[in-house]
Amino acid sequence: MHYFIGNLGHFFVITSFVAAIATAFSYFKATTSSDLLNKNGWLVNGRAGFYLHAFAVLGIVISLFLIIYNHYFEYHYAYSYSDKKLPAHYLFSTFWNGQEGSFLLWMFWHAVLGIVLIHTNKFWEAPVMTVFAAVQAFLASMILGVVLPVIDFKIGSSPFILLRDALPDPIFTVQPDFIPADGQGLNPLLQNYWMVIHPPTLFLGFAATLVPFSFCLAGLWLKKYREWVRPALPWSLVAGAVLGLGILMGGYWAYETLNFGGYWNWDPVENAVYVPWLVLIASIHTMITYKNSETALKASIILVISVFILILYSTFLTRSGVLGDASVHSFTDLGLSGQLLLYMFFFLVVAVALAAVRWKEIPSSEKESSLYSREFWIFVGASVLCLMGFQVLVPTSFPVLNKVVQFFGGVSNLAPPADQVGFYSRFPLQPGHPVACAGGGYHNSRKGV
Amino acid sequence: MKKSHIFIIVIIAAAVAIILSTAEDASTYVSFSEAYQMASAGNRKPIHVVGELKKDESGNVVGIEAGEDKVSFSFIMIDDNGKEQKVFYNQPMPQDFTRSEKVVVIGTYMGENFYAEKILLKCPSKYQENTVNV
Repeated sequence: MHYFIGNLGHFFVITSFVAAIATAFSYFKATTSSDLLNKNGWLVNGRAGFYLHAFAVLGIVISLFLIIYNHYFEYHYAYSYSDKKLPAHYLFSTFWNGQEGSFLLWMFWHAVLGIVLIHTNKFWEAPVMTVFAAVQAFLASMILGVVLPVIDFKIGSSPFILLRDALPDPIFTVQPDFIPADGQGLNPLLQNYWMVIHPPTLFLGFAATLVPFSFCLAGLWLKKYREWVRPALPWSLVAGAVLGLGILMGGYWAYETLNFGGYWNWDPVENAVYVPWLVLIASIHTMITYKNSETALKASIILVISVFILILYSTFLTRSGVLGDASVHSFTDLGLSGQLLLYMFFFLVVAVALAAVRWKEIPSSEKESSLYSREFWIFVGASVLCLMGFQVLVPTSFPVLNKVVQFFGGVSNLAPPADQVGFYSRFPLQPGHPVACAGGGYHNSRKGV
Repeated sequence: MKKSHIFIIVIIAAAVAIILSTAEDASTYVSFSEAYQMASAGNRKPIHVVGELKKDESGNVVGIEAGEDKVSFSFIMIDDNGKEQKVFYNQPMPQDFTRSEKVVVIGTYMGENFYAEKILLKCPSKYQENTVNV
């Protein structure tokens, strides 16, 4: 039995969680304190905290990978998702096959981006990193695997749980030190080249959407309503490109391994990540409009916040088990639904409350944009993109709607449209025309200017 | 009225139109008996039925028959109310079909038989077992 590596890993998980909370608090104080000396002290604290957090995340990643790589089948994660026959590159896929590992991947990218931000943007460091560290604390809590005493409430699901604690097999009462000779192996569908590179790309895209969201909240917080757009825009572009690439890779994987004969099957899991991407693209356009002509600031704020909230919503959809009957490839329920909801509603409430409090102060242009201006047509295009996202979001949310109605005692058994491909492609084809027209209008008005 | 107001109204109208048309196209989760009633009443819209495959005491799936053309098959499914129904599927048997824990069929009744256009499988079986292979 190799207890040390698992204990070390779990220690790193707890360190990363505590460090993230401490970092969030330090950066919060650094943002709010007016005394310069005080401010610098808190900044140093926050920076040290985030480095400790990033180090702990790296420690978790290395511990988990060593467990998988060395085939320590006394651990549930290695036993459930790998075996000795698995080629080395698929051991990486094992790493993000379980929910815990994919949370870890997400945290890892946030930690990397956080360090990049600390070093590239001194002015925005404190408020932006407050949001970052808060997000990291929520993510770390998902893999915490700690049972609260007295109330017996389990927080998170740790990837370092021993097999004997995870499975109620009678052999463990007879022989507590039993180690299976081989693991269960990786799901054959995931033994595919794309599954090695698709998840890291997708999660880098997920992680990148946090940056514009953080800048937007920071801008509202510091009342620097205009200034946040400039540093946020490049990150939105990165997020749009990387997330788009990740979605395409997922489509290619589905084409090769799932035999539905297409790149895209409008499965709820696919839709859940497609909607934020559409809104992200819309937000890029309104932000560029704002940078060039001081219009659409409020729209940018709403869209940037929506993107991140939709990312959290898609996380909830795919990981809470709510899609059970509707999707072929959502994760199974780990009992994290409550925590996932808390994660989503925390940032939803904070962002909406902050925007609502500051709404009146946000500058907006007095003059109406003309029907022949390119701003107007870009805005029309962005709206159509959002409507397209909305059209996909409604049926994808049916399982949630059913749950909510049932929670309040009603009866609701809505299912997604039976002919998914027909339903979804009929509508986006129609908005496709307005988008093309908006593009044309933009082009013409440009010539006119 | 300002132009931006008109614009907002147009957007809201489009959103409402989307919701309405989605409600129109939405399918429902029903039991086999409800599906049968709907089909007898002339409603040919495909619906979702959730259930399990019929198994004998030792847990082996029973009732799977290959079609004459070898590229279709039929099976016996038990819905959540316990009703047994023979389901026809006009395609070869999906991978992992017999290992599935739960099956969702999307289709309609034609006469006494249910014809599935699409089958969704939930197979956590191999990856979520409660016993260890010694």
